[in-house]
Amino acid sequence: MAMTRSTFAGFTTAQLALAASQRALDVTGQNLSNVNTKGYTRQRLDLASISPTGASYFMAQTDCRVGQGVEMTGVIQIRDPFLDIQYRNQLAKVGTVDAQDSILKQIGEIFDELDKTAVQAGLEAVVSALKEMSQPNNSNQGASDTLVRSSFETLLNVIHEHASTLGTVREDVISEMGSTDIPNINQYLDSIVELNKSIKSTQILGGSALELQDQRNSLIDELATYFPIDVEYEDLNLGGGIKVDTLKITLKGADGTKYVLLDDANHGSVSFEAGADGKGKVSVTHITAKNADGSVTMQGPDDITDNLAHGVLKGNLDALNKSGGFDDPPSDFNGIGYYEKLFDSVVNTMVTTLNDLNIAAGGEALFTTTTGATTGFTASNTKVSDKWVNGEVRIITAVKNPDGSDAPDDTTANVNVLKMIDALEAKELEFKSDAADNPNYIAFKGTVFGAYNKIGSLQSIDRKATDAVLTNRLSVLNEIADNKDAVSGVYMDEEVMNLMRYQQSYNAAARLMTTLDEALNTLINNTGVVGR
Amino acid sequence: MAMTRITTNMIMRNYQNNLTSTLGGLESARKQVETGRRFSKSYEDPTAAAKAAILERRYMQNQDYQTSLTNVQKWQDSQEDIVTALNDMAITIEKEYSIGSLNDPVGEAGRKAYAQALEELQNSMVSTLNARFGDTFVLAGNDGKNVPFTLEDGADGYKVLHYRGKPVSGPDADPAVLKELAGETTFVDLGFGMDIQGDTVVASSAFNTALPGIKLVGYVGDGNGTTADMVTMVGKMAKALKEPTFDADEYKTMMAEFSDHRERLEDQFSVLGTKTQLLNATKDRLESEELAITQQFDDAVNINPAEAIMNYSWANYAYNSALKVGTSIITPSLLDFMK
Repeated sequence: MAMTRSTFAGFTTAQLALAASQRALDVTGQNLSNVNTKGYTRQRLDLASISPTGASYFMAQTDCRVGQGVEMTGVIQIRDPFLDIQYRNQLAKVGTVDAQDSILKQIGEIFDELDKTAVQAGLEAVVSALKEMSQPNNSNQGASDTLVRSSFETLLNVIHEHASTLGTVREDVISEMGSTDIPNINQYLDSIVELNKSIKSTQILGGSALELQDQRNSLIDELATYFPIDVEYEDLNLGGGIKVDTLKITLKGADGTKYVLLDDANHGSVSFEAGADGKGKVSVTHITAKNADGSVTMQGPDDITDNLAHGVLKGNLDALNKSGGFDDPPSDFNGIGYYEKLFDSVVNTMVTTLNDLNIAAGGEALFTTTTGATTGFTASNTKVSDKWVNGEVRIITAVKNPDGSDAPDDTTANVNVLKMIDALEAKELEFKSDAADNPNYIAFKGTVFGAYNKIGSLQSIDRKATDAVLTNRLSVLNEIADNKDAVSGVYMDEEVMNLMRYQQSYNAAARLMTTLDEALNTLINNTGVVGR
Repeated sequence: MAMTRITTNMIMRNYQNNLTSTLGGLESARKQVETGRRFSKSYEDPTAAAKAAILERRYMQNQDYQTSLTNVQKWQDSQEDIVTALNDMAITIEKEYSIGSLNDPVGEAGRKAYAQALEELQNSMVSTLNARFGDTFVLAGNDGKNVPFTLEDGADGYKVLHYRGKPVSGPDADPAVLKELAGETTFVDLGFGMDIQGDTVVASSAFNTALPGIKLVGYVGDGNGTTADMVTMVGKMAKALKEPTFDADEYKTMMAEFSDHRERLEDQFSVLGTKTQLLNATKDRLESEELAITQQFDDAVNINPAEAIMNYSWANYAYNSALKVGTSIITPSLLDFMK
């Protein structure tokens, strides 16, 4: 004999079907309304079929057992964690080059003279004035001396401005690090911890906190532009079959050291310091151990300035700290320091050479620093000597006699002027920097004009290379983003099809209920009423 | 094979990126048309930018040389003027004051008149030799601020010419000093590849503008057997004319030496003429170099206007097409077809 069937059993199946279809429509509605939300991961209702209840003594082989409807097992997110890892790694790489590119652009605005008249034009004016002075009718005339001096004053003004703007570039980077980047990082860490707490409490109560997880992932993406990070999820078993996710974020050092920045409800911090020499230092306070009572031990601040492989922080730090060949050992990036030192070297070499020529001919120094010294010239402290301005000192146009005595009756000789012209135009000089770690590094060997041009051309080559790398990395990033979207993005047509599907299944469930109702109606109201 | 899902966001993002880069292309094409240059920032073409910087430097050098050359030509012209004036005076002396003086019937009074005229001419010669260009004395070698030539009373009753304080003729003249003064040079860079070794300018690498006056008038020890320079000689001749007994033979000898000096003065014309030719040739060379540099600069930095406009039209077309595509990229989805 077949197993008896509960009379009202079918209703539960229909009701479960109705509820499932309704809930699926809700999820589709959620997906559709969030099609433009940044960082939204599409959701899906997981359905499972309810199997008939277990075995019992009263079952027989001729029984026909049917499943008991549909069960909603949960709403899940469709997200590929491997793509997330790829995306975050690429974000860090893009961050490095982006930061470097923007700094090189600012340096380019100072030294790119394709479109404007600045130092090169000033140098040319100086040489022209000296050539005027070397003419036989102008040599040793007060007027031509004044002309040369004022052309130098003009040139030095432009040079001072450039030096000052270059200093501002450095200050801007330091200020950006200190007041924007580092506070942002600490803010993100704070917010992520808050979200961790909310997500955990929601999950404990049975929710899945999908929207909060999306928010958290967005914040982690923002964090990933600053330095390379590792994100790990751990399942925490709270007993009673309740499992929650906990999140751990680790900063990966270039040498493989891992600094735990965030572990569930606790986070470390990052700090930035600018030294007096304009160099920057980034330190991190990180978690080293988790204690049984839930508290953590932290260590730090540990210096990670040289231990970052990618990221905006590395891009900025490289620009602040590295000076290419001037460093000892030479570093791989020509940062702001390289341009500062090369520029200073151009001014120092030019001015020292001219001073030496004038002194050797029996005169005095034509240029001094702002403190009156005649060594250690930089682009910002060089000026025309006060004595030259008030006429006590002038360019000595004649060289001394071969025996070292003065040639007092050579009032219009001009060999010293010719030597000065030669020193600026044609002579091969070596450009080094005393302020560098490696004072023997010859950054350029050639004329003064050549040295200044080198600054401009080096900047343009560096920028072009950085630009190319940036474009390349951005396109890879875009591809990964496309892949992520392909997995997690909302596809309008698909959602609309779901709408149609679940609407039909809702109609079908409702029709089932109507059918059962009519069947029972026949049974209840129309059975056994013969002769009534 | 798994089909990649094409989501709305993906389409929008890629469309936006491509539209931005098309717009970027349009913007740079527009800049090319407006400015006539292929690029406006060095990093867009570092090689061409470096070349442009070098060419600009060479152009300015070329302009400097041309300015210097014009000035040197004027300086040279005043030298020529002096030589011409001096020569004219010497011819006058040769023609009118030699043959005439030898005619005895003139008598002592007549010779005294001639002597006076000769002394006047002598003063004129010194004035001419002391000519200036601006504030500088043209024939003073390297001492252009001070008057080079003076006439000082000599021990033998006639005035001796002094150059920069040193006697040019007479027993006190020092040939070694005079030779050094005559060899003074003042070089100017005119683009011959000026080379300075230590404190000396290599002679072939620059243009020498100096013409020490004693080279024109002669001096003791100049290798031509000079006993007295031109100017002192005139003084000697005047003294001889003033003597009560006129020694015609001595006068004739002096006149012969004077004529030799004058002939050598004429040689200076050809020396100066050669230098002027060199200056003219240099001027032509500098002018054609200027053209060449301008052309090279044009090739490196500028863009052919026709090419620029064509680029712009194409970029414009590409941008408009991208915009049109945009209206259909927000594709109608299934939503639009549902009842």
